[in-house]
Amino acid sequence: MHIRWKELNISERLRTMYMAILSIVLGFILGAVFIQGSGLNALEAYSAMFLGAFSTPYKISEMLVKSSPFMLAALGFAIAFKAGYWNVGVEGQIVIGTIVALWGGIAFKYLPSILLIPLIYLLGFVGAGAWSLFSGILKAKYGVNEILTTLMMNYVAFWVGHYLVHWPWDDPEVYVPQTIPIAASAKLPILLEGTRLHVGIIIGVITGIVIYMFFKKSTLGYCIRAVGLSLEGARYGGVGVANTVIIASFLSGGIAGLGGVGEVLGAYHVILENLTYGYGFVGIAAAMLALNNPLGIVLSSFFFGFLYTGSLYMTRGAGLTIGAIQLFVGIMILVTLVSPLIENITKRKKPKPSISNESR
Amino acid sequence: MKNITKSFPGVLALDRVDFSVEEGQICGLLGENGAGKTTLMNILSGLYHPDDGEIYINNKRVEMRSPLDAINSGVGMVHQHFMLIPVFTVAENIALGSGESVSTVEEKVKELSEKYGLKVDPRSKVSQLHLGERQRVEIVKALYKKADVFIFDEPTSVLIPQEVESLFTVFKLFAAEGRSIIFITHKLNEALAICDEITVLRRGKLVGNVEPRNTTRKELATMMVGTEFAPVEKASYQPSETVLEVMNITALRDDGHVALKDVSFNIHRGEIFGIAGVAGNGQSELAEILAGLRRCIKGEIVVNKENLTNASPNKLRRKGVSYIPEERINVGLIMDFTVAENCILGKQHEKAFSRSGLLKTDEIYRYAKELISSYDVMTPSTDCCTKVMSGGNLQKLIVARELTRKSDLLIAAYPLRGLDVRATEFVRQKLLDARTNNVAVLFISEDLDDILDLSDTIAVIYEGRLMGIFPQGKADRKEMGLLMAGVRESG
Repeated sequence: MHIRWKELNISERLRTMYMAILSIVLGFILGAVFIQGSGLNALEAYSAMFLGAFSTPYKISEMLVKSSPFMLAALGFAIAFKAGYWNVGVEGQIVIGTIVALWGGIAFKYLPSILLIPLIYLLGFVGAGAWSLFSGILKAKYGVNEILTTLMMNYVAFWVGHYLVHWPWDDPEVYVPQTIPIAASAKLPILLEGTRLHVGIIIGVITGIVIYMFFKKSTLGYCIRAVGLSLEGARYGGVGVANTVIIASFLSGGIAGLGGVGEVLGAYHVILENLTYGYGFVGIAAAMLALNNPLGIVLSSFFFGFLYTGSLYMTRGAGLTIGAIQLFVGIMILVTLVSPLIENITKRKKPKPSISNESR
Repeated sequence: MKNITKSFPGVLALDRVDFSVEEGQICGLLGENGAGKTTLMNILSGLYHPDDGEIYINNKRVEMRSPLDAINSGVGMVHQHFMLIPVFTVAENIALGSGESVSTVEEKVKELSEKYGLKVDPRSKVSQLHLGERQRVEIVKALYKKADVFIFDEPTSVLIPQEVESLFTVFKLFAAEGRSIIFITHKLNEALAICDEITVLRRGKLVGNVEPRNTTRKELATMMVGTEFAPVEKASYQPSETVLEVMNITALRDDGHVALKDVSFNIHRGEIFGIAGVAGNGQSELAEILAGLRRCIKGEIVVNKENLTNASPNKLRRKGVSYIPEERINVGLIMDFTVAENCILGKQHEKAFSRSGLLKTDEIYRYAKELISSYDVMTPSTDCCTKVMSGGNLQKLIVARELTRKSDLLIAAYPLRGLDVRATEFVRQKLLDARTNNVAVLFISEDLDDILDLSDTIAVIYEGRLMGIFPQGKADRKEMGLLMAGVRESG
């Protein structure tokens, strides 16, 4: 599953892209079957979806706003994945990111923006990282399956968030369950006047590039990849496996948490009930679609941003109900997860070159 | 087999190769790694389909579309890596896919094993059998499927000398019954000793057929490699200061059984200390303990007068211990890493390659190129995935990495296993070079010839105990063979 961009020749690179695109197309076809099957016009629905995401600058900006938390969640997931650690707790780590951001945006409101925003990002990173560390330590020190612990921690985070939104931080002046807002100085700068497009998307893209370089250039990235590719090999190479897994789980959670921070500081300035519901799992799908390549994740996250914002327009454009849209998005996510599968199947069909065979 | 051609992406594995074996003949198939021996036999046993060429059995053209076709045509293969399911019993393994009940199979297996002197108990679990026994199971399995043509892929590499002899007896027995034997090997002596005819392949091409009585070891080696090579020469051993002291080491295997019991020995500068024994008698565990990958529960390890019992792999490396592990794939090398990345495995924290958390990429590439050229590692590039390299080159890469550093002790666990002639000679020479450079070398091998050729001191290990330690001149082949089987001669 691990793909190194540089060592692949052009045709292989294209092939990897092609697999991803193929699975997306497959998703659209299946989606169309489903829409037609429920008596609606798929072509109309899809054109509504594309127009909904791209027809005006505002719509494009909304798509980008949505992409940024997906991107950070996916990047977080990918970091741990390279260490062979399945952090399916990115969902909860995003929630922790939102909570820390809201708290920071209120508690330190006396600070100027230039200090406050980086501080909140740092706190969000550390907070969500520490949250993730719980599962990481259990895995590294006691061999507890991380898929279970990270998944369960999602529920804990979800209900902590739920509690805060309904009780201590509830805004008494608003009827819907939402928290009091952060200070004005904590709000992220807007990139495009009249939209919600905040710098979070830039932070996402930069994080993608940084992580790409991290795996290429840093000693820690080398060790993380060694652990993920071969535990025995890493041990042989003197890599402290347990510590590396712990560090990877921390970084993974921390980066996912940044996605939550961006939602509070940039897009909403409050926490709404279910604000980031499902973001983590979309992030995992985005990471899988990109075969965990950090640069690929940047692209695949835009795709999911498009899917989420565009699909909402299918209600008005083609008469799909919200439930039907969620089902459609679900189908798309499932099918994109097939991308690595297609990759594996085609790989298996090709016989291995004899030079590597002979000696075995 | 006529005109067999097979290509894999980027490689022509077999180029119009003709091969034949007659009834009752033992035919040796000789060649380096990558020569196409295994590919040719995989085609005969139906695992691969040739791009071109024809296969005839008993003058009848056959199509091998699957292993089932091969079995039906009477071709049986005893693989180098046994294809048995460990948790099943012998009979269950053989019954698999035959559609017959386990009890019928048990009866037949008993019959066959008595008839050919292949001692196996059909009711014992495969996981409890040692490698020699597993091989006998594979042979019985092929017999059971009524094979007339037996392919043996490097069968002797897991056997002690006595077992090799009994395997050869089985070969002769089969041949006398009119069955044909194809014996894949890279050990020239064995091919010369047993075969009626020897076919040599080189880089996917047929080099020639020779009869053992009309050829010499040297001529065969030249045919395999294409160029002549000089036999390894070795200066005499001068005892000097102790590098490694192992005192009363006791350790457990992964399954909790005792792997090593009260093992003690010393290795000196410029000494090759050979450990002979059938694989699985505690050698792997010993190597792992010395490399810091396994803990011992009793005893002490002293390197250069410093107590390093149960130290970490990193610490041992810093103290001058190099390690060529038994498993090349995914222990010694990480297969999904690039060649350059593998060149610094274990050195990733050294100042030469890493500064304030960042890898010095330029340095690493320069170093990788240097290793590759000075150790003659064949690889498309330093940026290439390690996966595509052949076994011999993988081992060269490990040897290059482990020897291109200041070390006082080299642990070499089965460093020659599965290597072709040229790579074997190369690695042997490098071990001797290390010895010349005053490195203490621990050399683990199951091949008694290699042990006798290289070692200055020889220990025999059996069930986790050292059965005896001999200076090179005092070691007698026959006695060692017996010790390897756990038999101590009285007196």
